[in-house]
Amino acid sequence: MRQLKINYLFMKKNTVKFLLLMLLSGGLVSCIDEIELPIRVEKPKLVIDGLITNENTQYVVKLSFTGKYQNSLATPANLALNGAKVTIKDDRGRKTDLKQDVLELGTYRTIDPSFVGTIGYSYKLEVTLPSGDKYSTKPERMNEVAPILNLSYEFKNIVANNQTDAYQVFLDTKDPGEQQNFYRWSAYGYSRWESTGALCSAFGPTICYQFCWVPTDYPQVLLYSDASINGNFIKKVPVFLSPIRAIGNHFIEVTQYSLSKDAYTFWSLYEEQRKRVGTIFDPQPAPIEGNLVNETDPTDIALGYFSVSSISKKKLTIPIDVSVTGNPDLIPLGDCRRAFTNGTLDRPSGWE
Amino acid sequence: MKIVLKASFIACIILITTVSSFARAKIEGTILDATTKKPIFGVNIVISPGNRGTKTNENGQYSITLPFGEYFLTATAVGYYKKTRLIKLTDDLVLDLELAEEIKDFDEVIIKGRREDANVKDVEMGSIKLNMTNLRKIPVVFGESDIIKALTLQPGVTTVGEGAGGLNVRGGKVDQNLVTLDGVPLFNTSHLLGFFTSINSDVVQDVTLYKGGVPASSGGRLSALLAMNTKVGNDEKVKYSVGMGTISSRLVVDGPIIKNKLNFVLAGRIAYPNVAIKNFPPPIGDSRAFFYDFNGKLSYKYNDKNRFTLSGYRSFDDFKFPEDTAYSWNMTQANLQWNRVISNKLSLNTAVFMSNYDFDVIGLKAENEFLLNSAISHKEAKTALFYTPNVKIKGEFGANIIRYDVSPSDQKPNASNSNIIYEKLATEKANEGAVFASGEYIFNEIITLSAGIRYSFYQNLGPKTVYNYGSDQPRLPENITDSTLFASNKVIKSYGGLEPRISLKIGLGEQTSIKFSYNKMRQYLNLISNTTAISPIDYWKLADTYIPPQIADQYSMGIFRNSTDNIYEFAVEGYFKDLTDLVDYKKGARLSKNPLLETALLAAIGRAYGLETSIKKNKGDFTGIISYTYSRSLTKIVTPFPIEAVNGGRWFPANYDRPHNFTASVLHNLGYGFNLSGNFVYTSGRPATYPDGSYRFNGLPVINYSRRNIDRIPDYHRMDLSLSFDTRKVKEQKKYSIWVLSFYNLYARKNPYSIYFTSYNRITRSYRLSVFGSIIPSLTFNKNF
Repeated sequence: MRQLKINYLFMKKNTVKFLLLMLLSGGLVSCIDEIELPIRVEKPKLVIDGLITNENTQYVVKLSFTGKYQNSLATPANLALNGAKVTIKDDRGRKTDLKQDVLELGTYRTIDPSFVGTIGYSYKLEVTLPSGDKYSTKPERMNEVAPILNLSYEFKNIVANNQTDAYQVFLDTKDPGEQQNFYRWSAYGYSRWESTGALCSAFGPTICYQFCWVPTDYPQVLLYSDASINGNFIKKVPVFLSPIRAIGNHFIEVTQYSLSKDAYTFWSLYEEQRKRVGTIFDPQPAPIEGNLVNETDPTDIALGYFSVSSISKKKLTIPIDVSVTGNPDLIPLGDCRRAFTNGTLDRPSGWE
Repeated sequence: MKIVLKASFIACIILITTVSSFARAKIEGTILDATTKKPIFGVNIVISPGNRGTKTNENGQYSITLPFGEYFLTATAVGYYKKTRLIKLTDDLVLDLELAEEIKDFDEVIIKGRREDANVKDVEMGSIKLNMTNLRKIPVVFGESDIIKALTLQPGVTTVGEGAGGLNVRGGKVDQNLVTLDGVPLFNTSHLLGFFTSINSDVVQDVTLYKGGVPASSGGRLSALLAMNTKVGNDEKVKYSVGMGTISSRLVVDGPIIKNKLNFVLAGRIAYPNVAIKNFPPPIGDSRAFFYDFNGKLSYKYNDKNRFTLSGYRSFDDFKFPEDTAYSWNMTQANLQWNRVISNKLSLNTAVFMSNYDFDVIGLKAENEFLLNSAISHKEAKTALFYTPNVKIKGEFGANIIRYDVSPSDQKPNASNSNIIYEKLATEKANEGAVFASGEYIFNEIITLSAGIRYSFYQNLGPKTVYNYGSDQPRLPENITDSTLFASNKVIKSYGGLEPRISLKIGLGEQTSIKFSYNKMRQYLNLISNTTAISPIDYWKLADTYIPPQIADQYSMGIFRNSTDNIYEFAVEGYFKDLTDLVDYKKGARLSKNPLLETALLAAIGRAYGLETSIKKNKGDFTGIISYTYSRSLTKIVTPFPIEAVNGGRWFPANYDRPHNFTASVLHNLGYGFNLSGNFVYTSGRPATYPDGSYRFNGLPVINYSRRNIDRIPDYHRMDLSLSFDTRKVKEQKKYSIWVLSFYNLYARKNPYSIYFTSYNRITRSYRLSVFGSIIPSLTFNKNF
């Protein structure tokens, strides 16, 4: 009996370890250390990031090269591709040239406001580099997208350091049964954030600038193929997480994109690569090549994608609930307009 | 007195020689294991005086013809006490012997051949036989004795990482090994993703791994044959053996039902990590892990000439991470064997068996509940005739036929309000068969030749819709030109061919030999897996119009030398393998639920070569093996379309290419039942794909990986130690216990399991992931009564 007890103790100790090691395959890892490994740099490759929709707006195409990125938000000057000739063509003989943005490096925008994407038309992108190399995409059809039926939300208790509770936003839509559909969702929102504030003026003790409206985006790429549900409802897709930093409304907008099959494949690879956790159960990594191909060398494929999507949008206003408050540990000092990136005192417009 | 003796001696000799010129007689018999009553193969029968000898065949039988006279017959076999009998030969004689297992086999190395000098004298090469008695003493992780993990300590055998299932033998993929349990193939050898082997080692009697020189009677896989045989019930009384470890508990019961007629073996193992998991708060507490396996066998001796064996195996795994998906898989085997001894020269073994492998992915997300199943079923009939006309000749002839049924993917909604639709991919059907003949002939002391030929054939059967693709375009869904519908059981595509298996031994004196071998193998099915390690969601795919069988040619040569009464064994083996029609995957291929799987696949060729060197010490208080292997395994994608090329169409290292491999495994008998055992392993890191650039897309930094398997993760090394205590005082002791205290990863090295890259705060950082980042102690206990 005594020996059994010892055995049990050993068992207990090891089960914990075993557990950790099993969880590793599920994303929670057991023993991870950061190590120094320089990123090898190969010959730079062209990168495309562009989108045309059926929304009447400026369409943006960004061109750059692969290289070494530092801690910067913008594309470094030496990697941005300037001076390229960029054209979008449709299959009805119409085309429009994009003009390079003078401030944003490697960014090109449409300037003809009458050039608007139309559902059912096909679009292709042509790029001529300053070196004379020509790249183009295969024409891609702008597929119809179903409307977003409903947005709902739930309070979500988040237990972690430096985190706050949040509202989880869900989307419902109905997939049309006739054809194969691929979806992508993106969302952003505003909520009220609290800082300690600053004096309203030098003459009185009143505190101002304590509550700001702060935009949040959702860095996840949300994709869906109707292969498993064709013609059925797509229900309760978690599309956004809105952090609760103070009592107040939350304003959210969700966009639903139609995707071509190729675009869906591309985005899936993109997301898979981003989510790699490094176990040996991950698929082999590969370059995420898209649809922009060198016209003279079909093996020279740019990274990134020029997407052709129709979109549907829906807004959600989460009402004020005085019982939910922010994490008091996360109230920074000072004027909220400075304490938070893009913090503003103006209530966002466009929501009821 | 002296004169009298001398005279009688001379008279004796005269008598013997005279008689011998007139009269000869035959001694024959069967040598059985005293406890298991199972025939022992390869027992050395030595007759003295005269120093003549023979060996027992697969059925434990021997036969030798001698002049009339008095002799000492000695039977010796590795792992058994030798037995000597005085025989007076005046007529044909039957002498059956039972050899007792040498329990004080502290003298044995962990793994060894059949006879002390088998590595020099036998024609066989490239094979490893595990010593099951010592398996328990090898230090292992969590104290779970594991056949496959023990084999990775052998030259030429590697794995992609700790916790990865299966074996890579001589630069081959995991699915290129034919793993059999009592002759029945297993389609998954893993419990809990690969941390443990799905075979309970307590019920296994012998394990042989053929890295090359695979017998002509086996085929269907490219790299290796791993043959495991389970124990036969004893005929004396019901015996129990129980074991407890940190992860699982085991029980083996065996004994007679009808004495000397019918006996049984039942064995089970059950794991209990769940008990502990439940005590954790969520989300960990929501995880689940469980497995069990079960073996059963009934052996029926109808008469001296006919024996029947019915055996079964079942293994089950279930696990769930704190997410919305659970995984579950199971294997089932059933096997009926009939051994018939036709004459002392001829015996016939016939078997019918089936093996099923099923896995389920269970989606638990509300309103999206689903059950995704994939399965393979293997049904086979096999018969083989063994012919041993004399000591010098051995022959085997036989045939087998296999029927495969594969369901690659079958998805169902798993709740009434689930939005998941029913979706099932077409099932696959095929026949595979072979006829084979092989013979071994001992020309003389110097030369032994073993030659076998196998003709295998394969038919992919309907019903099936085969899509045709434009001939000068990459095979893509948009390039489908038309399709052909094949009716049920109509042959869609046939493959087949000869598979020669040849080995030659040339003796260079008593202690040294040089051996050559050539092997051709064909494999008609693939495990579809685009991950470094095989994973539970991989599924099997049969050869079809677009996926031809894989073919391997292996050439090997070795020099073997024993010294000091076979105490030391030296071996150097070199091999070269040529592999064609391997399956590889397009960049970003979708493998799951793909009805046009051929559009996701690429054909590849492979090349593997290596040099394995080892020194073993077989006897004494200190035994062990030290080996060093240099080996490479390379792949090249073959495609006429540059767009599909990987690494510019050049050769690149396969996932399991680990050039340098050093292992030492030693066992020290401390006396009084104590044994100290240690392992040291060093291997080159496996190939990996590191980033070679980064860029921004969709507002986020992205890492680019443009060349596959060009980099390598850091080297791996580890030391383990274990102390075992056997309570037996005498070898015949029936009730005894064995305690094993083991320390895995003794110096707590954080061995890299993988290196990965991720962007945090827009900076790409590299991380090392270690599975066993610290020392893992464990205690196991086994009791026999």
